[in-house]
Parts: sequence; C-alpha cells; structure tokens
Amino acid sequence: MATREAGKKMIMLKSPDGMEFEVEEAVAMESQTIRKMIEDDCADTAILIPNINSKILSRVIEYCNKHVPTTGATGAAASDTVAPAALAEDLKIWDAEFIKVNRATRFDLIQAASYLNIKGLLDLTSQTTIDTISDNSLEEIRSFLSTKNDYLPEEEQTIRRENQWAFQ
Amino acid sequence: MDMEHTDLLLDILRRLPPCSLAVSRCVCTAWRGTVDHHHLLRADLLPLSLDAVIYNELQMDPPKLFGRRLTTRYITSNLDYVADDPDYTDFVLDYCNGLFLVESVKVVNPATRQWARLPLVKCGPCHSNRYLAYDPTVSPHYEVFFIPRIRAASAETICSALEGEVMHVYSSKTHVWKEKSFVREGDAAGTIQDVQSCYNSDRSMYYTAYWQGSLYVPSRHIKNAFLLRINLSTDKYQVIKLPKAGVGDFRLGRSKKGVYCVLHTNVPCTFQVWFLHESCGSIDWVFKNEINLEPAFSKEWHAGPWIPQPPEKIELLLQNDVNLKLVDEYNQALRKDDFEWDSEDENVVSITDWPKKCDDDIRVLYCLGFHPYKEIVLFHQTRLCPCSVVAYHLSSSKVRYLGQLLPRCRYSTEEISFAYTPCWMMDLPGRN
Repeated sequence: MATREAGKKMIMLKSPDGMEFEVEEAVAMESQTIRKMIEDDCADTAILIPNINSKILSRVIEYCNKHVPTTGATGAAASDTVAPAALAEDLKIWDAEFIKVNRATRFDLIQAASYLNIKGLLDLTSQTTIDTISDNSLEEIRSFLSTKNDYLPEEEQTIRRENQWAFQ
Repeated sequence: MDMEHTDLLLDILRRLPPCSLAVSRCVCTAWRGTVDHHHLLRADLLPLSLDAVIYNELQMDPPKLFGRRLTTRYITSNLDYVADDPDYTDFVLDYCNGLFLVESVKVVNPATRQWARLPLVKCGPCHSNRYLAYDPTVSPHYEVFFIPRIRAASAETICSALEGEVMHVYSSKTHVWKEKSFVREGDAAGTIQDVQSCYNSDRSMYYTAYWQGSLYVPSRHIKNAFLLRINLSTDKYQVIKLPKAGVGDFRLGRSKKGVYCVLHTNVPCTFQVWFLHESCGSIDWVFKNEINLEPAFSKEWHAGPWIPQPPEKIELLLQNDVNLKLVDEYNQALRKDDFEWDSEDENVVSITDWPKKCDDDIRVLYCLGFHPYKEIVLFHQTRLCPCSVVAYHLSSSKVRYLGQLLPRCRYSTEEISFAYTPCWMMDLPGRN
C-alpha cells in the first residue's frame, strides 16, 4: 500500500470560494474536463473549478474517489478477493445513499457533473428527475419540479395535439 | 438554482425518451423552447404513421408489402439481406412498432434495413410462440419472448398448467436470454376451468398486443380462449377471458385507447370489435361495434390509394443504402402526399344504411391489423378475387377502400399480416 501511495501524483482543485482540495490525479481524471486540462498541460499547480462551490465540489470528489477504477487502492472495495458483481452491488448501494440529498443540491450536482463531464455522476444525479418526468402526469411534473405553467389553456391544448400519441 | 436554467434543463431533457420529451414540451414555454431549439424530439423517426400492411402468404415466400404509393417507393418488405442461406427466406414470426422478429432468431427493421442476430437459446423441445415487444417512444430496447403452449394433458386450469413452465426472455439491454417462471398477479379469480387445448392444431400465429409495458398473449382452446397479460417489468401474469366464449377466430391488437379484439362471429362477413377497459385494477371487455362487411366487398370502388409493391421496385430499393437524408426525403414526401386517414374522399363511405345481416357465405374475410393511434381496423378478402382491403373507422362508422392485394386466390393457413408503421430510428441495439 505505502509504496503505491508514494508513487501517486496529486492535483490541487480550487473552488471559487477559496477552498483547496488535494486529490490523486487518477481521481481528478474521472472528470473528462479535468483530464483534458491535465493532458493538455494546462494544470501545473492548481486547477480553478469555476461555478462549483466548495460544498458541491467536495461531494463530487467524494463520488470520484469511490468510482475511480479499483486497480488503484481506493478504500475497502478495492480488495482483490471481492467479485466484480459484489463490487458493483456495493457501488449501487453507495450511490443510492449518496443521492439522498435535497432538490437544490441535486440540481447543483447535475450542473457540476455536466460541467466536469463525469458521465456516471450525471447519470446518477439526473435519473431521479428523469424518472419524475417519465412516470408522472403534466401537473405532477410541474409540482415536483416547481415549474410554473405559463401556457394559456388553448395553447397547451394545441401543443398537446401536436404529439397526441404521447398522451394515450 | 432551478430547472429554468437552460444548461441544466438541456442535460435532463437530452436523456429523456421521445414520449417524455413530447410531454415535456407541454410543461412550460421554456421547456418547449429547449426541446425545439435543440431538435431533441424527432417524432418523424417514430413508428406513428400507418403506411402499409406487410404480409406473408406462405412461409417460403418473402413477405410482401401493400401500402401507400410513396411507401412502396422507399421501403421494401424483402428481408433477403438477413438470410443465412440465399435460397431460403426466414419467415416472419412477429411484429411490433416497426420491427420484425424472424425465424432463427433475428430482429429486423425493414425501413432502416438494420438487423440484429440474437444468441441461440436452449429450451428443449420448443413448443413455444415467439413474440417481440418494442416501443421506441419509450425505450430503444426490445425484448423477445418464447412462451410455451400449454399442454392439453396438464391443462386442468391455466394457472396450474403454467406452474413449472418457463418462458425464455431476451433483452437487447443485457444481450442475454433469461428463464422466467410464471408468477400470478393477484388471486385466481380469472382462472378458467375446463380448458381443453387444441394443442395439436395449435400451429398458427396468435397476434399479441403490446400496451403500456404489458404483453397481451392469446391462447386458443376448444372451449375457451383466454389471454395472459404479462407485465414486463414485474414478470407477473394475469389471466383474462375473451369477450365471448366459444368464438371462432379472433385477433388482438393495440389501437388508440389500448387493447382491442376483433371477433369473427358465426354469421358470415360479420365482426364484432371489443375494447379492453382497464381502470383501477378492474379489467372488462367493452363492446364497441358490430359490422357486416359484405357490402364493402361487393361494391364497385374507384382505384384505391394503396398498391402492392411492384417486384422491380424491390430490386431497385435493395441496391441503395438507407441514410438519414433518405428518411427526411420520405417524411417530406409523406407530408405532401394526399393520403390522409381523416380525410373524406370517394374511397370513404358511411355504413349507416348497410344491411346488418349478411346472406352471402362465399366470402372469407380476415382482419389484417389495427391502426396503433386511431380507431381503425383493416380487413381483407381471401379466396375470392379481387382481394380488396378496406379500413373500418370504428368511431365514425365509415369504411375506406384502400386497394387490392396482388391477385392471389390460394388460401394458406400460414398467412400472417401486420399493419406496418415505419420506424426510422437508426440505432437498433445489437445490430450487425
């Protein structure tokens, strides 16, 4: 463990509110946006992550730490004796806990995942919203997502008729 | 931060299936603006428009297409390109929303000519009916089902006969076949006693209906025919009786409001249409229409809007590739074409003054299929020429003449037909 630890390259991530996070390069590279910066040599000392506050950034790092490929030693899940299926199951349970956040945090996480281009996190954070939209009626979607209906009734009818097949 | 933020909204909307995108357009102007600006909803690629019938008279022949003139110029029903042996045509087993399931076992989309070969499945002596479930408005993935025919010897009741049986289910999401046992939903209230199976003659196709995540699978027996409604997400089934016991032929289908059933009555040329009304856990058949279609087939019609695909057209089509440019061309031509299901023209007549009784017992009429989004059922005549095809509009009690199938006066029990809605989605999972 210790020898591997020593060989690891570390990266400093800075949030706009002045917090700094030191993370392993492999963890930071879970983000395709950061990976590109590193590969293009635009990241010598520290990378400023705009628009993502320290609270959200720390959660994103937490996610990346857990999801970095397990060939590096990242926590208990990396044990060689655990079967891949069990690992996947473990990750699923961890994800389900991770996403138990309020709506505002979830939307912030979606935006962070989108900006940093972390596919797994984007899938995870947007799934609840996608399920809400897919499984509910128009009124329920509006109420769950606090979206105001700004259509006139006849306007809404016209738009509905354009894709009548979706309302059967 | 809220969903009004366009980037966030776009991230979410990009991940929605077409059906949810169409609903999202109605949430508010910002949502519609985002969907439309980024062209997220491509309804023109979805199987929403009934443009043809694809049918097979004999298993050894390639399937034939009868449809709008426009459709015969763009889509061929010939499936030679999936055949392993050039001298042998894979026969069609089932159809669902633009996709065909063919023998040995492949799914194929005749519009895009994309196809996928499924892995082999081991299921012993496979006395099973084979079905396909696919709805690209909800998901790009399809499922294939091998559902056992229930053996007469063990069919004291349907539920006990299904105990110990397994169905084989393939999902394009996982690329594997799974064995699933039959788990009954609710109590045995729907159980039908005294089913005598006509198992030995049980060779022909029974059309299913796929509606809101459930597959409605018919099973035919001497005394009683019934349906299994299999919920594809929970794998639980429910037994549903047919609207009338002891009927002859029937055909299930999905149409505007859900699952419909066309029954051949004992009176020649006369059909009943029933609708399966499902609400709050109760399921009832609702009688909709009874029609004597004989006048439609003795009437002199003008030339109809639909034609059989000329053989030379098939050769020509197979020489060209299918790409998105062609799809746009097809959809543009579709908009200019003067064929409209809702229009009134010389090919549409009201049936209100038609006799209720038929005294002509020579004609053999069959249901060809259902329009998936309008209450329209297609019928045709076999054995007697001309082999006319008509569309019966259930709610307006009108009949529309479509045209004549290729002259054919033979009758085959292997005949199979589907109302065809082209699907232009270019990303068939598992395609070769």
